[in-house]
Amino acid sequence: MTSKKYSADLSAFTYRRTFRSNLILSVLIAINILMCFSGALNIIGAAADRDAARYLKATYTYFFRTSTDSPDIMPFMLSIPFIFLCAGLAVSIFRYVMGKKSSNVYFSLGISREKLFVSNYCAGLSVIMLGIIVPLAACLIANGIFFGFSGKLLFAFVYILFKVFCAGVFVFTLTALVMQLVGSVIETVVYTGVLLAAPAMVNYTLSNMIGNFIYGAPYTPSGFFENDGSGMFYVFGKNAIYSGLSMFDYPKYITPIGSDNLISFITSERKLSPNSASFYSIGEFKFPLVFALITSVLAVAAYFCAKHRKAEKAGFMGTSPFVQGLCVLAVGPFLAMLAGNIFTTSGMSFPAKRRLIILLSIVIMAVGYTVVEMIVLRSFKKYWQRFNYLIAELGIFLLCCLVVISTLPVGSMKVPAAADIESASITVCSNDYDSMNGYTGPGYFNGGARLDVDCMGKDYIKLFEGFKDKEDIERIISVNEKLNALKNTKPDNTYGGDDEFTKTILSGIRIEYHLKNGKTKVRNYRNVTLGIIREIDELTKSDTMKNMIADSLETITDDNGIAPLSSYQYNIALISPDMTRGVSPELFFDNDARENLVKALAADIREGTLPISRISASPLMGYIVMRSYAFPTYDGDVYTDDDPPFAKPQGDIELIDDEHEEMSFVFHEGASYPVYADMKNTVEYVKANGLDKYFTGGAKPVEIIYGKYSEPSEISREYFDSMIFSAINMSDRQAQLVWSEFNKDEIYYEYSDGLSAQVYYPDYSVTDEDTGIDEADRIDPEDMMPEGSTVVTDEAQIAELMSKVRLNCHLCYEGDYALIVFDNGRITYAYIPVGT
Amino acid sequence: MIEVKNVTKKFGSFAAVKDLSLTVDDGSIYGLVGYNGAGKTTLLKMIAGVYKPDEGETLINGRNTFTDAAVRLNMFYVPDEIYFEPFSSIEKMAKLYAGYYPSFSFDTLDSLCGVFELDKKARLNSFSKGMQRQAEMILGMSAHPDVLLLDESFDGLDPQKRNVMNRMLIDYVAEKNCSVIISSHNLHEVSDICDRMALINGKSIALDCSVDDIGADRCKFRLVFDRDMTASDFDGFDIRKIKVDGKMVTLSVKGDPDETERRLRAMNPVLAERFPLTIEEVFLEEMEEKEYDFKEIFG
Repeated sequence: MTSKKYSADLSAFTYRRTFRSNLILSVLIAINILMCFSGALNIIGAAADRDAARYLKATYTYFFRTSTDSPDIMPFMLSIPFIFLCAGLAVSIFRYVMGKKSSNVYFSLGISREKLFVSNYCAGLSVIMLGIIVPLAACLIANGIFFGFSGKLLFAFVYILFKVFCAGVFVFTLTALVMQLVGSVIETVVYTGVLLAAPAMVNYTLSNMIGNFIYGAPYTPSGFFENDGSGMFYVFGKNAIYSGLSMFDYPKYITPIGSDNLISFITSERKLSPNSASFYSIGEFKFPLVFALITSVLAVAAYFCAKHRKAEKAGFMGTSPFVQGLCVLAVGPFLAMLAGNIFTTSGMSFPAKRRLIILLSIVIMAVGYTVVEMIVLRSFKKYWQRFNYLIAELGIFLLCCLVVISTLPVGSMKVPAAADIESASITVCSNDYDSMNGYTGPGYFNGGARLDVDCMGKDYIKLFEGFKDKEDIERIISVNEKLNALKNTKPDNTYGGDDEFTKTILSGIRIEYHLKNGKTKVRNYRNVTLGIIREIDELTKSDTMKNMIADSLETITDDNGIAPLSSYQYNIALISPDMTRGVSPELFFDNDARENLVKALAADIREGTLPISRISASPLMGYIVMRSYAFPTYDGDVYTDDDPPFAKPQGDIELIDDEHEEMSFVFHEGASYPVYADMKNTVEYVKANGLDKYFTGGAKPVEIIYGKYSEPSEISREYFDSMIFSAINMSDRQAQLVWSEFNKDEIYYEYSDGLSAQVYYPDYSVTDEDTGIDEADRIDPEDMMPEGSTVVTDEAQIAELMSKVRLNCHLCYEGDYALIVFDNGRITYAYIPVGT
Repeated sequence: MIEVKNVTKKFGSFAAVKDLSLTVDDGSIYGLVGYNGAGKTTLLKMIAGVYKPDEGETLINGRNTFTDAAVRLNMFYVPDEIYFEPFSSIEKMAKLYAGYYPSFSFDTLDSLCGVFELDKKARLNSFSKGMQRQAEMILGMSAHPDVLLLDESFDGLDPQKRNVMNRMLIDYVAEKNCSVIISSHNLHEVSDICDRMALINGKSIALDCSVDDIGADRCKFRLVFDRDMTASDFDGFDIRKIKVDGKMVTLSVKGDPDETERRLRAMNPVLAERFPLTIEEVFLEEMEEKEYDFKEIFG
């Protein structure tokens, strides 16, 4: 009568049964993993193509990735189903604890709950491992056949297998743990999702708490979504803390994407890649091992929870106030920080904003807790009985706030002594410029409200770094102390006034001190004044700065990091000081000539005759302008990539193309260098090569209208404050407002900021947001100048003014803005600095 | 032997079972009767090891059913809410149970499927409620347990099938000398098959005796007096229920029926009749039924 089917080992029976019934998930995981690492399939295809095969063998040691293109978004996308599959596996295996009926059966069996859990858990691990190892083994074999087996290949295989397995098991284990604690599948899904995101949310909360609560914190508040420019996207921002917690970034963990992803590197070792040997060390297992350790802790916790699992929880929501509270504690402050960063007005003082964020956090946590409780409990009485959990959560949060506010600020506001500093750097938020290369009165020059600066979480461009000279370090220390003094000030968004240079405005200033003891202290500030920025600006006159700019100018490369500035990728033109004529001489298509030009400019920078601010009292001869020509040719209605314009000597060039703005010389990115009479090296070069004749203007000025602005003009100030740093980033913001046809009856104007030319045709109805001028409005040049402007038509006066005008002027607000009307109908918008 | 010792089970602040004790001997069928929500299912789940008692313990042959999983190898629990694996058949479920029950017999399974005329390969979710109960019973019996816990297992069965089930259980108990606990709110169903019964009332045992003796300690009387009577005239008796209508009195009295009759006759009634109590009447008396005037409610 006794069944032969009975298994003396109930655990083994449970394991086998669970494994068999979940094999389909193993198959799905295998498909998912194979798509993430389908490089082997590429290899198989490439093997049939001789050229492709040759390329792969010459370029790689092995190849696991999906494609040779980088970045490859597919693995990132495929990591999401991997997470769902591993979580789904846990739900499939442990769903018996969720049902009243199923728990009646399984808990009454002759196997203890803990053994039941362990057997099922091990089966789950086996399912995951099978789903991962089979496709990776297939890739290993394909690589071995194509590239040959090597120690590096085997190491990469083991490394990837281990890392992906850890990621999958983590998700599986966390889900299993949550299932032992809660009573319904919906709670499992929600709470598991929250807990998976919790590390990123907690990281965001803590770093933003520091950034928002501590004046001069090492971290800045983050936005919601940031791109660091290398192709890596960070949800919830990239902060200093974040990079240390890469183990929680599942897509990076699982898939080969991103420049700083270890898997990304190791999945396809390029023969040309530097420092590849450093990856083949045991040390690279550090993060996966820590991850595995955390997973083990969770597994043990799940074991004990399974052992003590109460069957009466099955089918009921709200049975685990602990898990629920944990999720609210993770989500609440996170949402509050996010809201605080997005919605709090920039016009608040630092302490006021801090108070507001704390209040927001309390409100959001209380509301969130109440909403969740009412959904799961559906009883106000039960909600009230568990109200102490909310009190506890709020208490924990406020305690964290107190710790952050009270313990860290002392250190963060302290300015190191100059004697302890090895070198220092100071940077400003790059938000205002598309070129990300400079600073103005940040916030001051935005088209919108003055305080509309968003410098949260932005990457800073280190404009001033490596200062070792005592005088420079002391200047930075002086700036730091003045920034500290602005802590309780309220940013002022009004323009003008006697306190223009002393009132607090918003920007982002980062100071780094590299100490002699090897440590680095970082300070971030948002409150600044134009006066402080001017003080920072003095650093541009230091030898350190000059040498840095000159060095980078001489070694500058294009985007691919291959061709130097002296290559044919850039067209160089000589432009008259009034920007009415431009010539691209054939000389500049000689590499040696280009190199010599760059050397001359660099020498003048070092000697200080070409100031970094590009302002000089010395007479202006003209401009040497460089433009990249990486854009298609316009041929009728068709754009082609053939014969990029400006790839050949142009002779006289069209600074502004009336019909095709994108063909305008000033349209594209580049840099411009004023040539002043005292720039000995450059002037010598220009004269020696007979280039000075091209500095003659192509049109005669017939009218100059000049005046001062009482309010910011989007045209006026934004375009004049550019720095020589634009030479580094190959962008320029010279402003030129031209009328291709000076016709009062036809509104037809265009202007160029050096980065974009905007052309408005008579029948083109558009309102330019930057200018605020509707092309339908018929405007006289005089109407574009502030009230009370002076109109000059006398030739002698015009000539005198023309000797003073500049097309760029950094941080110059005390001078006059000028509109120059030429006899050919062109108009140039310029500036007459004080002191010229 | 099944022993339940002073078990208490609470769900939050609500006590489903409070300080409850009972004993089920080997070779007996024990009936558990009570109104809806009396705690029958909770008690059975504690014995089955599904619930952990907050106080007290449940033992099978001296071994705790919650902490000692091995004791459950020879115990089968048929719950009120039947569970089958999704898309499973009797055969598939049999493979599950066969892995966990050392005495599971596929021969027995086949035989019982024939008796109840159930297709063991058909999907269980295509069965009617009654057929599903039969299927669960078949699976339970095929495990040849020493302890069988049945929670409302006869609910939904037609009289013919119920009769077959009764005979099967009686024969099984006699053959295996095992212990069976059946919970039900159908008194007849329980009284037909059980040796002993327990009435659970208000979370504890109100009555625990053999079926034969269930009414032995109480009796019902109808008396007619020559004078108007009141309830207080009978204060010396352990009255379970009394109805006074002028000179006529109907009462149920707990105590030795003969002695009670003697004492009542000593009150010189004009007429005195004695009736044995039915199980329903005993049940209702013990359940402390409230008299509801539904005319007033719906009027």
